[in-house]
This record gives sequence, structure tokens and C-alpha cells, in this order.
Amino acid sequence: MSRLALFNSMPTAWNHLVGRDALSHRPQSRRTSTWMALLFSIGIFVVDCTLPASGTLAMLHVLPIALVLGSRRQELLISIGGLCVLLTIGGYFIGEAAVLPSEEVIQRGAALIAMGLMAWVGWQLVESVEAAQQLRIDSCLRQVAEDAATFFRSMVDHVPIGISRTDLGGHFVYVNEEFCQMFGASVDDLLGRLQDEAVPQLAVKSSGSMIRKSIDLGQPEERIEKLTIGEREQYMKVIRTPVKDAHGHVVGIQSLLLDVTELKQAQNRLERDAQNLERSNVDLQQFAYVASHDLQEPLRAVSSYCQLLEKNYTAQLDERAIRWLQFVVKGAQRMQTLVRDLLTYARIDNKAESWITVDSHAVCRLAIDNLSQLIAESGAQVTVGKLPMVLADDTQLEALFQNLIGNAVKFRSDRLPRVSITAQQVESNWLFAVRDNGIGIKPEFHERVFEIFKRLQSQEHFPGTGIGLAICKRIVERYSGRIWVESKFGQGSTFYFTLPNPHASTEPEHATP
Amino acid sequence: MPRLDRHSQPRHILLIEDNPADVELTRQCFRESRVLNEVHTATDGDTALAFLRRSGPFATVPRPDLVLLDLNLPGIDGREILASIKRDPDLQTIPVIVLTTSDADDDIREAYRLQANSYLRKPVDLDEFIELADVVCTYWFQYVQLPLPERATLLNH
Repeated sequence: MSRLALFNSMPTAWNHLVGRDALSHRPQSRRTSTWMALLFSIGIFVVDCTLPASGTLAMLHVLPIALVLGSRRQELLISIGGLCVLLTIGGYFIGEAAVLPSEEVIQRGAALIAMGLMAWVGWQLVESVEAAQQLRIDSCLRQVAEDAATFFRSMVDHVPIGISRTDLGGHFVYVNEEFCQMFGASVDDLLGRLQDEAVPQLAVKSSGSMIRKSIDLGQPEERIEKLTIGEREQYMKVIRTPVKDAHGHVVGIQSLLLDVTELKQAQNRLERDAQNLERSNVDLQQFAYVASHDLQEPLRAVSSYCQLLEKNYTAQLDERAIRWLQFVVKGAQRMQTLVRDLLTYARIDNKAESWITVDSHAVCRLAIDNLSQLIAESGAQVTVGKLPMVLADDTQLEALFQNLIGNAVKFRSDRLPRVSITAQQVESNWLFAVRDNGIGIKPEFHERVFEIFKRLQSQEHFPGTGIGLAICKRIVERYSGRIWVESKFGQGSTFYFTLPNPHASTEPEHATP
Repeated sequence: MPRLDRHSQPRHILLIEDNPADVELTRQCFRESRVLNEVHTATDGDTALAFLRRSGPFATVPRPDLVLLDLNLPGIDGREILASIKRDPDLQTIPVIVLTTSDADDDIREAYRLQANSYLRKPVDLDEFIELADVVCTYWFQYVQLPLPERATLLNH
């Protein structure tokens, strides 16, 4: 552990030694000038000791003093100056032994005075230069600060957010223009006043505990409050932040008020719409249930009792009565089929969204299996190309294939029916095609075949309710796809539909080797 | 149709159904079954449960061998009756067949969750209904093995 600590501290120590540390830069230069000044003083002292004395030598001591001036430390200057004086006097005694010529003393004395003066003048000079510099820096800083303050004040005043600050007693210490406008007051009206009095709408009592908590934790507190300002009701997003001083003590509360009335109204509208939609969905499900149960019961009674009459009272009924009873039975049974088909159609959207990756090839095969009797009876040839993985619900996809292939076989002409199912990638979708050589559809019906219960053929020739393609359309559109038909009357039809590709820009699963 | 029953005693069926047309129709269809049976009717839940528990005016009625239950009934609905039967230790061994018009998946699921023994949809066609009634009787009265009622078991020992 300690070794590790030592290891970690090494780079710092190294930086300190080589003076690479940015902080140590200034002391380093200061130390250099001190050493140089000392070296100079001692050098002059040595020269003074070996050469015949003269005032000029003493004057040379000014140099080290000038050097230490650069260090800007008064105590260093004084100590170097003192050292030079001592050395000068020492040099006199060692260099010029015994005799004390008055001229020499005067010279040395004058030199000392000159040195002292020099040091003093130098010091003053440095001081005044520094003061002037400081003054210039101060004024620059003040200017920058003023500019910044003006910039921020104008910004703060013009942002569409009300900003206020109160002290801990709840008195306003700052409000911006937007805040004043929000409550129809002027800055002077508000500053210094108690917030609860001046702006009772913002009364802290409602959210007092929150504010207390916010102060205690030092955390901002955010909430949407409904305020009545004048006649209007407004929704305000209020963000309260504790204001701290330099020591981290909370000294007040800053509040930011953002008018979110429009947003809130839009949100309310959206919620209301969503509720309505949910209600209507529930109603629709209820309807579907009613249709499946209550609507079918009377129909069954009608058809069953007609059949009972026909069965048990044949002797009492003539041929016409029996035929009419059969019409009633057929009518009721057809009505029941229609109700059930309608129910199937209505339930497509009821089913919970289940978008999974489905192998459309396998699903198509399943649909063909379901139709095996029809296919066998008609002698139809059904070929399935390479079909991809798609995003859909497998049961619904099966119903889609079954309806389209079933129709292709059912609406056959005199020719042997041939049906082919293929798919190709078009942008991020798969485009499926179910092609047949059946009776075809006249152009004016290309759109209308997808309408619910729309039939183009007589019940006699092609029985059915006409729900199949409507169901197909609803299923495809549920997966954001499109379905349409291209057909030449008498020659055949191709039904196209698109389904989303689960991983766009990949090859069909079955095409990959 | 030839009678198949090896019992001289008819099998008792309790039909819980409020629609008189359906009651009549069901009776007609079960009358045609090859298994001798007697259909008793209860038109609401309270009556049905009183019949099953042989309480009040039903003290002397036979214990049904099979219950045919419609789901949508006035008052206590079919699901509650089903739950009550399957909760009651004396009644829970009586097979309950839900016979209704609904083919909603939720209804089917709920019925089996409440331990219905079968869920049958009332056929649209009369002949189909007659066939269904015969299949039900044959299956439940000829092939299925059911325990003796708890009390009867005790008496036998």
C-alpha cells in the first residue's frame, strides 16, 4: 500500500524537481534571480578585495540590487541591499589594510548612500508601475464584468421565463421583467416585499414542505402549478433552486417560472382524446361480443324452429309452405354467416399488437394446406416462390394468404387454375404477388373489391359473403402495408401487398444458400 | 334412432338456460338422443344452485348426472354458477358443459379456467344440434367413467 502511494507520488515529485509544474514556475525564476544577485555580490566582493579600492566598485553592488528588484519581494531586496553594504565595508577593511584615508571613506560612504537611494527609487518605481498595471487590469476587468452583466441582464430580462430570487425570509431580492409581467407588477413593486404578500398565487404554503426539503437537500425542486392570474388560469412549471453563498450555505431560493398553459392544455386534450378512444374501443369490443352472442341467438331460434316445423309437421304442410320455410332457414343462416364475418373483420384490430418475425413461406404453406380440399377439387396448380421473413402476426398472415389463394382458386375460369405466390424486396418492404389465371376483374371494380361485403358475382356461381378481401385489406393496413389488384378481365388477376421487412436490406431467408 | 342405453333409469341433465326457445329446442334435440335422458330446466342461477343442492322446493329432485350451462344469464351469470359448482365439494364432480352461442376466445378461456368440462357452441343447424346432443349423451353417459357422489360413497362403505 505505502509502496503504491510512493509510486503514485513519484511523477509529482519529478515534476516538482524539474520545475515542470506550472505552479512552480514563478518561484523558480524568483529563486534564480536571488542566487544570481548573491553570486554577483560575492564576485564584486572578491574583485574589491584584490584590486585597488575605488568608489566605482562599490557602485557595482547596484547590479545585484537591480537583479532582485525583479523578484518583487521587499524583504529580499532589503536583505540583499544589507549584504552588499556589509560586503562593501568588509572589502574596505580587507583590501586597503590599516590606513584610513578620508577620501576613501567619503567615497565609500557616498557609494553606500547612492546604493540606498538606488534601492529606494527602484522599489518606488516598481511599486508605481505595478500599481498602474493593476489599475489598468482592474478597469479592463470592470469593463468586461459590466459588459457581461449587461449582456446577461438583458438576456435574463427578455427570456420568456419568470425569474425571481428571495432570501430565506421570503423577500424578493431579484425579479426579472418577465416575472413582473407575469404578475402585472413593476420591479419596484416587488423588490424587498414578501413573496407571499406581493404574489399570493405563488404562496409557499402549498409547496412549503417541498421548498423546505429542497433547501435541506440543496436539490432543485420542479413541479407544475396551476395559478390564477387576474381572470386567467395558467399552468406554470416552477423550478425552485436553493441559492448558496461562497461557503455553501443556503441563503435564498431562486424560482424559474415557465408558462406551460398551452402545452398543458394540449396534453389535457390529448389525454381526453385517448380516453374517448379507449372508451370507443371498449364499446366496439362490447359490440363485437353482442354481435357474436345476442345477435345470433334469435337467428338460431328462427332457423332451428323452421327446421323443426319442416321436420315434425311435414304431413300438415304443403310443398309451397315447406319451400318458404327453407327460404327462412337459408336467410337466417346467411345472416348468421354475415354476422360472424363482420365479427372476424371487427376483431382484426382488437387483437393485441403482435409484431413478430414470421416465416411467410411456412405460413403460406399452412394456408395452402387449409385449402387442400378446394385445391384438389379444382385441380389447381399452386406454386410458391421463395418467400421471406416478415414482421406480422402469424394467424393474420395465414388468413391473408388463405383468402387470397382461396379467391384465386375459387374465381377460376374454364382453364385449369394456376396460382403462383412470389415476393420481392422493394425498398424497406417486401412486395408479395398472388397471381392467378381466373376470371379477372373489370377495371372499375379494382378498388371496390376491397369494400366490405362487396360482391361482384352471383351467390349461385360463387358463394360467399364478400368479406375476404376487406379482411385482407384490414390486415395489410394494420402492418402499414398496401394492397391492390392488377387484372385483365377474362385473363386473370394479380393481388399485390406489401409487408414490412424485419431487417431491411437483407436477402430473403430462403434465397440464402 | 335405436336406443343404446343399458340403464332402464333415465340419466338426468340439468339445463341452465333463460331463453324459452332455446330450452324447448335443447329438450327436443336431447329427446332424440339414443341414450334415455331427462332434461330438467333452471332459468336462472339461484334456481339452478338450489336444484343442485336440493334445497327448498327441490328437496326431492334427483342429483343431475350432467349440467348444460349457458354463459349469459340474468342475475348470477353462467361463470359464477360454474365457479360455485366447482367450489362445492358435493357438486364439483358433476360434469358441467358450457353450451352457448359465444365463440369469443375470452369466454372459452374463462370457462376452462373455471374448470368447465367442455365448451360447446350451439349449432346453427337443427340436424347438427340433434347430432351434438346424441354425441354428448353417448360420450358422457356411455363412455366416461365418473365417481359416485361423495355421500353415496360413504353410504356404500
